[in-house]
Parts: sequence; structure tokens; C-alpha cells
Amino acid sequence: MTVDVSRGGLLVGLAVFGVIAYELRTVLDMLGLPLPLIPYMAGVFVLIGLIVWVISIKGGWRTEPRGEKTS
Amino acid sequence: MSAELEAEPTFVDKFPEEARIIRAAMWGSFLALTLGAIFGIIQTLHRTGLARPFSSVDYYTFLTAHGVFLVISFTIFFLVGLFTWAVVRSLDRPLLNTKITWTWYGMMAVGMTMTGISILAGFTSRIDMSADVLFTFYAPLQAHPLFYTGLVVFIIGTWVAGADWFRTWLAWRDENPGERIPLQTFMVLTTMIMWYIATLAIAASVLLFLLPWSLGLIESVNPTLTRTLFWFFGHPVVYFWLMPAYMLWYTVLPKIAGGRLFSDPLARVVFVLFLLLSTPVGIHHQYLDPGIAEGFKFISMTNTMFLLLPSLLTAFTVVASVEYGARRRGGTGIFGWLRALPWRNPAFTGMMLAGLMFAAGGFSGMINAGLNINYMIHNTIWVPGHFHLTVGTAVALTFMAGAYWLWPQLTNRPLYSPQIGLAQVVLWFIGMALMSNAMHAQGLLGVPRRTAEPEYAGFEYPMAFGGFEELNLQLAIGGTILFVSTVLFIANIVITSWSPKASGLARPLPPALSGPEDAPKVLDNLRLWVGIALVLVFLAYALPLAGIISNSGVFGTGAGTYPVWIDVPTAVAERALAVVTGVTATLVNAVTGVFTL
Repeated sequence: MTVDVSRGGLLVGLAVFGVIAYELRTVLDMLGLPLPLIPYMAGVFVLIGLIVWVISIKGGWRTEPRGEKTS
Repeated sequence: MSAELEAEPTFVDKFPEEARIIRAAMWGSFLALTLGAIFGIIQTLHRTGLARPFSSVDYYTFLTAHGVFLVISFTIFFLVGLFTWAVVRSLDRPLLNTKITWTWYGMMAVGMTMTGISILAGFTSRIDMSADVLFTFYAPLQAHPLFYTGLVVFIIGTWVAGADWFRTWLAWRDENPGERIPLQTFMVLTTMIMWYIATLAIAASVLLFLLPWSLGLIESVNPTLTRTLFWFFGHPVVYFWLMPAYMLWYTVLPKIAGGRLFSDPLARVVFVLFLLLSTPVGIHHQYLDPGIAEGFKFISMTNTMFLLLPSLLTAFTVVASVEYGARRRGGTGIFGWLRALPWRNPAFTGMMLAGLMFAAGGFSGMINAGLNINYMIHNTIWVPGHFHLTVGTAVALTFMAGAYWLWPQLTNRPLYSPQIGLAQVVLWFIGMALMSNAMHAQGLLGVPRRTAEPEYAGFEYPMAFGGFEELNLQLAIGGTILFVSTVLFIANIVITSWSPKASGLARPLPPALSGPEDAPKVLDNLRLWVGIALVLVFLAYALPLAGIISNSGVFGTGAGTYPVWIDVPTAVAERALAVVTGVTATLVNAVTGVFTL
């Protein structure tokens, strides 16, 4: 399996997903489920790392250019 | 690469002298960014208590240097370079006289050097000079005269720069009668008109009050007056930083996405709205200022909310343009088109992430703009959390991304490493998300801004709020990631500048889908917009300024709690009521007297 997304797209997608997952802690806090901040932050980084790892061993991301220029 | 693109001349090929000036301006900007980032990381680590190699007394010198170097020097040097590129490129003609261009560049460089020296001298007691007045340099904080003189020279330099662009446009207009103003030039001209109006107040504040006061020529100044004049300039300066970023989003981002700008007329409307609405809103920075009546603050809040409109129009137009590009690249589906975008390109990704963060900055900005809820976060670290999303990301990250796109066309050298560039912009996004989130969260706890020691005596945040120290750590991690990101950016640009030259780096910009021919001609009537802008500014500021002066004088040492004439209707109403009550009582007495008789 290879995700049909370029490496840049994957990075950006995961960065945005990571920030959303991180902000989820505030929502959980508001709902009465306080979680320690630093372990939670570390957990998000580990989760993102795991996703990148799984994608890379399953075939990685799309690398061939789709006609765009890099600069 | 097609032979056609290979043969296309780059900007530096067509306009080598202008490219040299633009590069000089941008080097000034990158130097300021480097210094500002160093001061920033020192501040972050000091304030959070993780590393304190310097005294807390020096914190204000670091804070002033961080603010001035980044929001005045980094941004404005970059944007004058960008505007020079935009005017020359869109008019497709050289500047009228590059000696004038070098003159304004020299004035800005000399002015900023003077201001910088006066700030940095604060680190040593051997020189009797300091300017620890922060970026918001109003009274009662007083700086060395060199600080104010440098700022005056710098701002006059920007005025000459604007005149240089206006003269070039007028020459083009004579050569092309009846033609619409090209979009990028239109954006530059409207931004500069706003800048001229906004800087009038700060010029008056510095030349009439702060500089003579600091030279000892006058004994006192009216702090409320200098504060109000500062914020007259202080809010539109935000748009002076932001409008060049908008220009990149409107004109460059669609091109990188493989598309075209959706609507030229809508872009013009947005810039006219910014010209009209940016200045008459500065009082929203003074919601807790006792010298200004609540009514004026309410008017300012209403005007501020109108400012959301051009930003929302921008969000629509830019996303529509990018979606058009994605669909041309084969993207399909309601959201599937997002995958077809050139995310590996740091210029594209940087601008998109900057836009995304700007949306978050807009949300916290609405809290700041609300007269009642502003009280909760006023003077807390929430506010730096907000402007690190807006100027610190929407503007700064867009400028860095724009540099990745523009620098090769100014040097004929390809970007050294797009991969490092991509990592850099993503790191900035992550670092800022962490740092800004922690700042907002601490602000809600009441943690103050602008202090090396954020804990009040006798009050311990860790005891009161369990998350305070964790948030400090999050803030420090975010700040450190941002510092690393800045180092990567500067390294990439520096190495690029010494890389071998290459050809085929030209990136011509396509015309808009709906071009200027669809825009009403009145949009190009700059005199009309200047007139309306001045009327709006007069309506917003005439009464508050007159109130401040009548209350405590031009050079007064204090201010009352509200302007006198706000009391006049109340007093008149009270007297009228007293008369009515008196007459009624007399009548009642008379009537009851009659009945008694």
C-alpha cells in the first residue's frame, strides 16, 4: 500500500492533524477529563511518528512528481 | 522544463538594478529576523525559567529589541523589497530614478541602525543610553533621543519609498493612458495611502512630544495623548504588515497552485476596504484606557468588526483560486482536490499554513476586539499569543515562503534545498501552534505579558493553576522549535545566495480568471478613497483627541476619566429632568393646595 499523497502533503496533513489532536486535550479538559500536558504532547508526537512509520513500511508516499515545479 | 520557460527572462535579467535594491532590502530584513529570533529565544527561556543567563533587568531590553527588530525592521524591510518587485514587475517598467530608491533604502537603513544602537546600548552601563520602551513606545516610558530620531528617519524613508512607487506609476500611466492600474501596483498604492495616513499620527507624536520631551525641551507630555496617537498608527501598521502577505496570497499563491486568481475585482475591493477601515479602529487597543469615553470605544469596536469582512472575502477568493488550480491539476471531489496541491513546494505550503494560522489568529482577534470580553484578557500573555499567530505567522511565514519563491528570481540561483524549506515551514507551524496555544491558555489564567517575572508577589500560579508550569514548558518547546525553524530559513537563503547560477527560474504570473475589465472603474479612483478614508479617520478620532486635550491639555500630566462633552448631554438631561420634576412638584402642590383649600 502506498498513500496517494506526496511527502509534502503527508507532512502538512500530519502537522495539521497533530495540532488538532493536541487541541483535543482542551476539549477533554472542558468535558471534565483533565490530562497531563507534557505526556499528552509526547503522545501526539509518538502517534504521528507511528503513522509515518506505518506508512513508510507499507510502501511510503507518492514520490513521482505530478508536473509541479519545486520552486 | 519547457524550452519556452527556459528562455523566459527572470526579474533580475530584466531589471538588474531594481533586483539589487530588492535584495539589499531583503538582506536587511533577514538580518533583523536573525537578531529578533535570538532575542526571542532568550526571552522565551528566561520568562519560562528554563535558562536565565541574563538579569531580569535586561529582559526589557531583549523585549524591546525583539519587538522592534521583528515587527518594524524585518517586516518593513521585506515589504519595501516586495513592493518594489511588485510595482516594477506589474508595470513592466523600471523605476524612474534608482538614486531616489537607494536614498530611501539608505534612510531606512540608517534610521533603523540608530534605533537599534539606542536599544542595544541598554545592555551596557558604559554608554549612557537606553531605549527600553518596548515596541509600543508611548509615554510615560522614555527612550534616548537617538531611538526617536532613528524612527523618524526610518519612517520618512518609507514615505520616500511610497513616493518613488507613485512616481513610477504616474510615469506608466502617461505611457499607457486609459489602462487600468495593474493589480499588484494597485495593492501597493492603496497600502501606501493607508500608511501615509497612519504614520501622520506617529510622526506628530514623536516630533511634537516624545522627541522634545526626551531632549529636555519640554517638561511633560500627556500620556493619554501619546498613547492614542500611537494606536492611531498602531493598528493600521498591522495591516501594513498584512497587506503585502495578502498580495502574495492573491497573486503568487494561485500561480504556485497551478491556477489563476479567481477575481481581480474582489481583490481590489478588499484592498480598498483595508484602506478605509484600518485606521479608524485604533481605540480598540485602549479599551481599558480611562482617558477615553466608553462610547468612543464602542464605536471603535463596531468599526473593528467591519474589518472582518475583507479578511473573509480574502479567505473565499484565495481558497477559490487554489481550488481552481488543484482541479486543473486533476484534483476531484469535495475535499479530494486538496491532495492535488503542490504540498512539497515550501513556498506553497508555507503560505497555506500561514493562512490557516491566520484563521486561528482571527478567532482570538475577535475576543480582543470585543469591548466586554477584552477585559478578561487585557494585558495578559493571551495578546502576544494572538499576534504571534497574525504577524508572527500569517505575515512572517508568508514572507519566508514568498522568499523561497522570489529569491531565485532575484538571484538566478535555484533554492538550495526545497526539502529543508518544507521542513522549515512545517516546523514553524508546529512550533507556533505549541507556543501560541500555551500563551493563550496562560492568558486565560491571568498571567501578565511584558514581564520577566510573570508571577505576582504572594501569588503562585503553580499552586493556583496546576497547568502553569506545564504550559511554560510547552511555550519553551514551541519557542525553541521556532528558533530552529528560523535558523533553517536563514541558512537556506544564505547558501542559496552562494549557489551556482542556473537558467529557467522565471515564474511569470498568469492573469486573473475575472480580470480588471470586470472591476468598476471607481475602484481605481484613488482620490475618492483617500477622501473617504480621511473623513472616517476624522469621525473616529476628532472627538476623542479633542476630549483628551480639553481634559488634560496638550502637555498635561494626566487625564480625567471621561471627556467633558460626554457629560454635557447627561448634565443637560439631568437639568431638564430637574426642571420637569420641579414644575411637576409645583403643579402638584398647587393642585393639592387648591383641594386642601
